[in-house]
Amino acid sequence: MSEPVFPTSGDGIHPMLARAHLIDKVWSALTKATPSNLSVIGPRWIGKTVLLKAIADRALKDAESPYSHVVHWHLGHVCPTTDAEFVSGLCGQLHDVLQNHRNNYSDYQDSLRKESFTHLKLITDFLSDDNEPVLMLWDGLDKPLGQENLSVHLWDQMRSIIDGKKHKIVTATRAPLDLLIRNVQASTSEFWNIFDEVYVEPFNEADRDELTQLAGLELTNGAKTELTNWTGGHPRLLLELLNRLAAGNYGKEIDNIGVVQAATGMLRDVRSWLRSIWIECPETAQEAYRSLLQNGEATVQELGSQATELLKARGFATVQRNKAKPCCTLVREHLSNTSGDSGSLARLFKAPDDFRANIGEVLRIRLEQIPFVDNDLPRWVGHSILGFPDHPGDCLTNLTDIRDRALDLVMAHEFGPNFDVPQSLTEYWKDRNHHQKKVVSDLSGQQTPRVSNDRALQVGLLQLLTGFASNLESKAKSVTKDTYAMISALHDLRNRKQHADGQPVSESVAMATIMTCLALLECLAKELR
Amino acid sequence: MYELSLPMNEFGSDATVSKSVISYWPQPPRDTDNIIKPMMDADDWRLPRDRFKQLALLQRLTGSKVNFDAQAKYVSKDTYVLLNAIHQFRNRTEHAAGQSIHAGVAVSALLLCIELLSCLERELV
Repeated sequence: MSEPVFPTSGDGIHPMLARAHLIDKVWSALTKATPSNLSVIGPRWIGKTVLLKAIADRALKDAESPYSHVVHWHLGHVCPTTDAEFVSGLCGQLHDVLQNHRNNYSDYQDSLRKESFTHLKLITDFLSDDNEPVLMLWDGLDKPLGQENLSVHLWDQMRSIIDGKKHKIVTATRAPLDLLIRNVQASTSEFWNIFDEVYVEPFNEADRDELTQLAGLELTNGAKTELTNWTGGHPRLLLELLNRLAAGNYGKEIDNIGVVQAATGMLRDVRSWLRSIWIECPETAQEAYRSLLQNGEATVQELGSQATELLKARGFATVQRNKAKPCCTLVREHLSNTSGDSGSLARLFKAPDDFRANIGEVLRIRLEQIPFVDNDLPRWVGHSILGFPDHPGDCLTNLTDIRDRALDLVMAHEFGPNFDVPQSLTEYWKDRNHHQKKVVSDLSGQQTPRVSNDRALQVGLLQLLTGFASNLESKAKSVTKDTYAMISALHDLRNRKQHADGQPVSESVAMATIMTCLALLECLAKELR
Repeated sequence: MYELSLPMNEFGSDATVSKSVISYWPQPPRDTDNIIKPMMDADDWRLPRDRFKQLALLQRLTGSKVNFDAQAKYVSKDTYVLLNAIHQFRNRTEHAAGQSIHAGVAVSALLLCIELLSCLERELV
């Protein structure tokens, strides 16, 4: 089989194709008299990383580039979870850039190896004084921003690096920065005010025509329209369809029928892409899309302006004169093929690839069925489900939060708002020969026994309370052994991610973890009512 | 399945900790570990029969414990965490005390077993 015209899969960052207007816009923002810091925004697979790579290349190769150094940091790969890890990571990135530079920066590198903010600030200040501006490209900032532990202090420090200097930062995220910052206090940092937003959108008609030409294809006007109708201009889908047209025998000038044939033919092969593109779309926008499919069109007011923007960003809808119409027939066909009405369980789940492609939706439906006892828990589990199957490690990211919140809810329910543990309970467990357990000795040593802040001791307390040990009756008001078993399992599963040591988390563990989270939520919904 | 396959693959037919692992585990700070120290003191490196101790050895062998790098030839941390979770569920039925198991919990337990089989199939077959 011949090489495809355009790369659409495989490792590495693909080259920038078309979108000359976009890169010109970004480059002029970075090189004008007073350059901007930029926040590049767009859904997954829309081309943010490709854009950042193109910026990095231009900054390094353009003879008129004002930047002496380019730090292209992929924060999603190894996500910093604390301020210290973030600073250390940035020091490491700058260190590597200086190491690979033709000039000798060994003194600067020595300082950066200290991995402290003081040293980082010192070196960036030196570089600025030497008129060597650094362009920092922070790709996948979504993940760090989703961490509770990155503080306002860190972001204030980051601002101090560029304040009054020529260094610039370009971030890439799937949503505007202010919507992603999980730590409430961190969102108050002045750092977030420095960015101008740039949206990466699906390929427009000019891009489409340029790409068609690059592929050496001649298309009728009807074929061009179908190309847009079937793909919505989504880069991955449009490039793959062009590849199919280039590789197929559709004649010298391809008409609309040829495009429909090629698009229909690729539907099955790209279902895992379609699934990922679909599940990444926020739920409100999914509902809006379904409504559009049902009604054919709707006003922006009817859909909601936010949902409309989310659909446009993915190529799922076009808007003209305030009327939205559905687009991207590939996604529409994917939805009709995977809906419960149109296929059997065997068709949806029999082949391993089908199972992988469809199980995420099942898990999400299950999550929606469970009544909420807390607003954050279903959100965190929902995030975990989004990671499956392409990013199994992400499925374990929120486990500590889930465990902690579940324990807080359970302890408050069982012991009241002050977490007071009745003395009679401690006496009972001692009588039943559990006096050697750390949690019992800890409680015995207190005048007014209270639940410890130590999460491991809380898990131990729950074990005793629910009678999940030999010779013990449950003394819980309503929390069961099931809840204990789920919390305890999550408590251990957390370690899988924390001590990964280069072994990526498998889909098996990701799947089992999500199911355990769902079972825990189900238990809490029943027992804490 | 795992009762037979894990010892055969990781510990050989004589079910004994390999020489390379014996030279690694007794080094500080692992020499004070509550599972390794008794084996060192007795100079007995045979696989214990107790399932809890087997699980603890697997934890160390796969590098799933602090200060222990993975020494396993085939088995991953994934297999350990799944086995450990299943071990928890085993206790759930042993200490039921009249509490029936939620359907969701049962499904979760079944899925853990299925995914464990998937891991074992990848790593041991």
